[in-house]
Parts: sequence; C-alpha cells; structure tokens
Amino acid sequence: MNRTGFLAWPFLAGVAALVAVPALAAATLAFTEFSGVQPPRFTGLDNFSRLVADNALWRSFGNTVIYIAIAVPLRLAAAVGAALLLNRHRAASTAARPLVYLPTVVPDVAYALLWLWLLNPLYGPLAAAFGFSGTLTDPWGARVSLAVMGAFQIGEAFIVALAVRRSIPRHVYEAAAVDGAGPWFTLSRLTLPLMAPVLALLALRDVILSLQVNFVPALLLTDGGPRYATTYVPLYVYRTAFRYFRLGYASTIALTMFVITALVVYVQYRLAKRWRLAA
Amino acid sequence: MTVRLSGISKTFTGHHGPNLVLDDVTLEVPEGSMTVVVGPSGSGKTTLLRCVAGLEHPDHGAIEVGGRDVTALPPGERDVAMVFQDYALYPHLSVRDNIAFGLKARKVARDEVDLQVRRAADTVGLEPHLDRLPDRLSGGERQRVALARALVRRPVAFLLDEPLSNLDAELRARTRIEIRSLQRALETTTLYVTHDQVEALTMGDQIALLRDGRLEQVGDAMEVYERPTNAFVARFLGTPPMNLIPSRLLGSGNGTLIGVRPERMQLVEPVDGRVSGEVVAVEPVGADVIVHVRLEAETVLVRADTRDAPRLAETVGVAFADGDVHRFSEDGSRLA
Amino acid sequence: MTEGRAVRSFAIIFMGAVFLTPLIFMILGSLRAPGLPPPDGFEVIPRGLTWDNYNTVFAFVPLGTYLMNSLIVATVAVPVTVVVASWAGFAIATATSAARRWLVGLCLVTLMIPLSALWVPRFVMFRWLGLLDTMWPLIAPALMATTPFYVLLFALAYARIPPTLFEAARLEGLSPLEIWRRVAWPLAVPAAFAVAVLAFAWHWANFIDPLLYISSAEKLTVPVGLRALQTLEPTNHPILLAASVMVTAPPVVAFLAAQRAFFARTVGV
Repeated sequence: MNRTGFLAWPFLAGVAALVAVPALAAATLAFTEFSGVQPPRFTGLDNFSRLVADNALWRSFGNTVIYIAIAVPLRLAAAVGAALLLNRHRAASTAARPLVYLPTVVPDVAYALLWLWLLNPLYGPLAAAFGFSGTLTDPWGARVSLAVMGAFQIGEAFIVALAVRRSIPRHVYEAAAVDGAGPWFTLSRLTLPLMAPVLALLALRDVILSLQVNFVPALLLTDGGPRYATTYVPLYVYRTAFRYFRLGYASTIALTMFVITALVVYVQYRLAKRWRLAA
Repeated sequence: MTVRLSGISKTFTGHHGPNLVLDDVTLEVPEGSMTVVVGPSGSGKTTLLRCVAGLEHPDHGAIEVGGRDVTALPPGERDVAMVFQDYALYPHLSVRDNIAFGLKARKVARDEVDLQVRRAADTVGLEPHLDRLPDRLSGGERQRVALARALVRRPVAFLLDEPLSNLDAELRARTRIEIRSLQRALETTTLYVTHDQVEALTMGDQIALLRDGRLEQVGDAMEVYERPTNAFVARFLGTPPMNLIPSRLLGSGNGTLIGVRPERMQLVEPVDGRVSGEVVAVEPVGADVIVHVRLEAETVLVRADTRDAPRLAETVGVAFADGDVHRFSEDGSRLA
Repeated sequence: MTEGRAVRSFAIIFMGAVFLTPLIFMILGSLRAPGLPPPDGFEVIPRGLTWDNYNTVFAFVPLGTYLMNSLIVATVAVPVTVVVASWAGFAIATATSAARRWLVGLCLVTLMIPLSALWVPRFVMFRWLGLLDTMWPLIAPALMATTPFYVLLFALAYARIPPTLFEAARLEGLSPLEIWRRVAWPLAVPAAFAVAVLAFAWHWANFIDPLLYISSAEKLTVPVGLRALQTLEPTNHPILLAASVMVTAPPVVAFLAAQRAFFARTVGV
C-alpha cells in the first residue's frame, strides 16, 4: 500500500516550510548582525563569543533549569497519578477524566490572567485562603507559583499515561493478584516498570516543552521578575529579538537551543535504550 | 487438599440485561486428582475457574480449598496458582523474574527464590532460556513459563484455563501428556478448563460437563462417554457426534430418540425390513470414512473402514447392536 | 475491600475537584462587582454578584473585533489541519514499515523542537515573504497539521482499521485518495472530531504567533487583545476575568461536547 505515500506530502511540505527552512535560516543568521532594518551583515563567530559572555542569558538558562527541576516532576506525577486513579471503568472516573483535561483547553492568556487574580495579595482567593502575600514579588515564590500553575495543564501527558496504562492486559494484573502481589508490589514491580519507557518519553517531551510553556505566564504574570527570577530562555529570546531587535544574536540563541535540545534528546534516547535492555 | 464448590451462582449484568452464567454449580475435585471442566464457549467454565481463583465473586455459594473456606478471600490468599489461556506473562520481566514474581511478592528469601526458580525451570525444561524476555520465546516456551510460574508456588491447587488452545496441533498433543504426567507426579489437585472434548476425555480423572452455567454430568471418561445422562452430553463427547434418530424412523415406537455412536454402526446390504437410505456424502478421515446416510429428513453418520466405503447415491442399510443403543426422551434426558 | 473503594472514590472526586477549581474561581471572580475593597478573608461567593462585567469589558477592549478575527483564523485553520493530519496519518498507517518508521520518527523529532527557537527565523521568513501583519502567519501552522501530534492521533486511529479493508478497496479499483475518502475517513470520524476540537483549542489560544507577526490592532486575535487587560488595577480584575471566561468558553464547550469521542478514540474508554 505504499502508493498512499503521496498523501503525506502536504504535511511534509508544511514541516519543510515551517521547521526545516526556519531552522536553516537560524543557522545562517546566527553568524550575522541583523536588526531587521539593514540586510544581515556577516560577523563570523562574534555572536557566539558574546553568547558565552552573556550573563543575562546564562541566568535565564539557569532559571529554565530550575523551572524544569520543579515543574517536570510535578507535572509527570500529576499526570501519572491521575491516570492510575482514573483508569478504571467507573462512573466517577468517567466523570473526572474530562475535568483533568479541562485546564489544558483553557487558552494560555486567560489561564495566566486567572492566576494573576488568584495570586493577587489583596484580592486573590488564594491569598485570602492560605494567607499568601506577595507570592509573585518573591523570587522563589514566583518560581514555584509558575511551576504549580503548569501542573494543572497536563492533559496530553494524562491522556498518554492513561492510554499506556490501559494497554497493559488485564490478565497480567490477574496473574499478579493470584500470585499474591499487594497493591504496592503491583505498582512498583508491574505498573510503573511497564509504563516506564513511555514515561521517559513524556519526561523528555516535558523538558523540551518547558522551553516554551512558561513564556506566557512569565510575560503576563511576572514580566520576568522579580529580579529576573522568572526570565526564562524563551522570554529572553523574545526580548532580544522583538524588543531590542537583535535578530542575528537571537538566532544564535535559537541555534544553541536546537543544539542543546538535540543533545538532551540524544542522551535521553540512549538512556531509554539502555534502560530497556536492562529491564 | 480437595477443592469444593457448593451451590455457586453468578450473574453478570451486561448491556442486554442480567445473564446467569453459573447456575447452582456443585463440584468436588478430589485430593490430588485432575478434574476437567468441559463445555461449549459461553458455558461459564472460565467464570467457574475465575471464581475459584478469586478473580470473580460468586453471588451465592461457597468455595473451599484444602478444607478452608476461601469464598471471601482475595486471590493472593487462596494458595492457588493459575495458568491463563494467553499465559499472562509479565512482558517486562525475564523468564527467571516471571517465575520468581509470586515468591518475591510473598517475600521469600532470595536464596530460596533462586533455588525454587531453577528447580521449576528445570522441571519444564526452561533452564537455557532463564534470561530471555517473553517476546523472545516461542508459543510453547511461553506456555512453559506459565506452567513454571504456577509450579514454583507449590500451591494447594492448580487452575488451568485452556492452557493448550494457543498451541499448534502437534505441540498440543505433546504438552497434554506432559501436563498430565507432571500433575500425576506432583499429586496437586487440579481444575482444568477446556472446550476440547478430546482433551477432557484424555486428561481428566473426572470430567464435568457444563452447559449454560449448569453441570450436566460429572464422572470419569468411561462413564460420561458410555453412559451420557442426556442428549447434550451424548453429542458433545465424541467425533463425529452420536447419531440421535427419532425412534419412528427405526420402527421402534414413537416419541423417543435413539442414540448410536457412528463407530458402533455398520453398513449392511439394503434388504427389506432393514433401515436403509441413500449415501449423500463420504468424508475420508484417514483409515476410516464417515458415511452420511439420508434417512427421510435425518442424516445418519456411520464410521466405516476406508476399504468398504460405498459410492455416492448408493443405497445402503445401517445396523447396530442393541447393546450400543442409548435411549433419550424427546427433551433429551436419558431413559433407563 | 469496601474501605479501599471508599478511599478511591474519595480520591477520584477530590482529583476532579482540584482540576475544576481554577475554572470555578474564574467564573465566580468574574461575577464580583468591580471597585469594591478587598474581601475580608476568604469568600467563595462574592458579595454584590453582577453580570455587568461582561458588558463593561467591551468598553475597555474591542473584544468583538478580536473574536471575529479569531473565528476567521479558526475557520480556515481547523479544516486544513484536519485534512493535512488525516492524509499524513493515513499515509503512515498504510506505509511500508520502513517508511512508517521514518515518518513517525519525523513526527517525534518535530514534536521535540522547541517552538521558541523558531520564532525569530519564522519572523524573518514571513517578513521576507511580505506576510507580516496579515492572517497568513496565524493560519500557516495548519499546513503542518498544527502539530505532528494530530498526525499521530490519526495514524493510531487508521491503524485500528484492518488493512485488508484497504486492500479490498484497492482491488475494487479505488485510488488511494478514494480509499481515504470512502473507507478510512468514514471509519475514523470520531478521531477527526477529536483532532478538530484540539486544533480549534490550539488556534483559538494561539498567543505567540499574533504577538510576533501582527502589529495592527484591528487585526489582533482574542488572546493578544486580552493581554491589554493585564494592566487593569486589581480592583478591576473581575472585568478581566469576565473577558477570560468569554475567551475560555468556546474551547471548553467544544471539548466537553467532544470528550466522549476524544477519550474513546485516544484511550479507548
């Protein structure tokens, strides 16, 4: 049936035009000075030496790592926990499943504005309920708040985890029950190991997603503050490119992101592969 | 260590309303013996087995394993081991870890686990494959892993759910014998479920026939084959199935069914006064042929030697000895 | 046993409630009268309930124009996304195993690329093509099925159809496009429905593309338009929440309408 291959061409053309061409453009512009007004001017490795010395960039990179360290485990745990809790055929599960997905379909901007209200020290319900004040004016308060916010928008990971959990044959669990395995033994020796390859993939995707999901809240809630605590890489790129119009240098950062992403993907891929062999 | 089921009933509620799958089933598997539960698909035999395992809970009735009432116990506390039809191997664990799983779950000491796993693997000939994952095993090897996983636990009872149905014919015949001799050697009480009457007749110390959730007959192979309690049992066991001929076609009164097995019938000259009819089909089955003889609206099957096979459309007579006749009433129950 | 069930039921209800809470606060907050002093402690139902915020917001921002622009983008982008994703998914499901591995690999790699790395080069590209400050950069992602995730969803749905069905249709003399149109598509309508809803939610929420590529106020879509309200004083936040509710409602309603098909298609429950 490989005669159907041509039906993939529109998609492939789209990927070429919107991903491959821009990636090549970034790789070229990375070696230029380009403000958008004059044509790009080749400057060799100048941008790269600037990048190495750019403390603000490395700070935003460190902020991103902090965000990943808090948000990814939180999001993954929430998604897997919800999937395991809601996988059974029961009326309550059926009703709760769409609710878990619901925050994910809330537009990012509306969601960010909602949290702007929730976290407001004077009017916000959270402040009133838990006595928070100045969450967003404290660097760590802001960092944690943004990560917690993200832990509600886990719909896709939840769906994937749910699908994986449901793909484990029922008989395997029945065999374990007859074998005398308790709930904890079943979870740690059966369910989680069987889900692990996909969970690794989800974690990887979430790490990469973290390079962009926090852009909207960082822009709208904290504007990168306080004291640059929530200036993440995407926000930094945005400011460099569209506030200061250093399009050449922004491309250098983008290219670096490509390279780092490729490295992360490669390392995780190797780990996942080795892990699978060991299992 | 008997397994005793008394008055087991179970109803499933599906989209089409309640469905009684087990109806007051009472059955005893004597200590150290093998009872085969056989029946057509949908007869409730797997549900019966799952009730013993604790994977289903009967609505009524009690289950005893080794003199202990286990009706309310979870599966892990019943001290039974089960072999699933699809084997239900843990896909991420090696053969070794699959076999060890139940022992580890019970926190058996590591040295002891190693020893028992090796012993069980040895029994079923899996030693060379201990470090493989299930997806690298053949169907027969997987089946052995499932068996070893049951053996290693040294349970009070084995429960086997159609363990041979996913094997090819040759392997099935071989494994049938292996399971049986293994069971004899271990003397572990075993409940074995199958839809295959040959398996049932060859393996069971005791055979229990289940239809629509009701036990139709329980007995050894000889009993159920030679003295079926009703027309269903008579036709279910044996290939081709027993002929059931309305008595008026044989000129022996009205209102009863005359049952004669095809291999107990003979083809004879069609002389007057004898039951005779036209040959409508001749099926070769190796040394024998199955001859289909039309008697009015009925077709009678006769097993004959291939060398004596009649031609199609020939008129033949059929004969049988009185001692080979089973009589059933029209509703199917045995008369005398 | 029954105790475990009770604990589990409670956990399920709690889980559902936790994920519903943000939306409830959004709605309740939008009903609060603006200009009031801060509440004294935690109040669930605000004092002075009012629907006025839903009118007032139009005085702050031209929400009607933004809604219209968003609707235009979604109307073009969603069908294009569904067709492109469906074709590519069908090609994957019926490809030889080598081609399938290559296409799925491409989808996964594309999913892994951080979009923020593409902002600048895309901006340069759109500028060079003279497409800045038009709707096209907003619709463009539909050409690559919006996200390869949707392609994979279709591929999964089509992979569940027995391949002999496609082979039978081929023997009947149907062209690949006809096989897609008459056999594959009708058998996976729920998947298309699910992808359409997700794509709608994606395009409706798309904030970054209009932020980067649209400069005229009258061409903005809802998410960027909404951003202007961010500068409101906290006492006027209820107005901002009213706007948020209006922007959130379409994708939420679409999702709830489609959730059965969505869960059935993606996880088979």
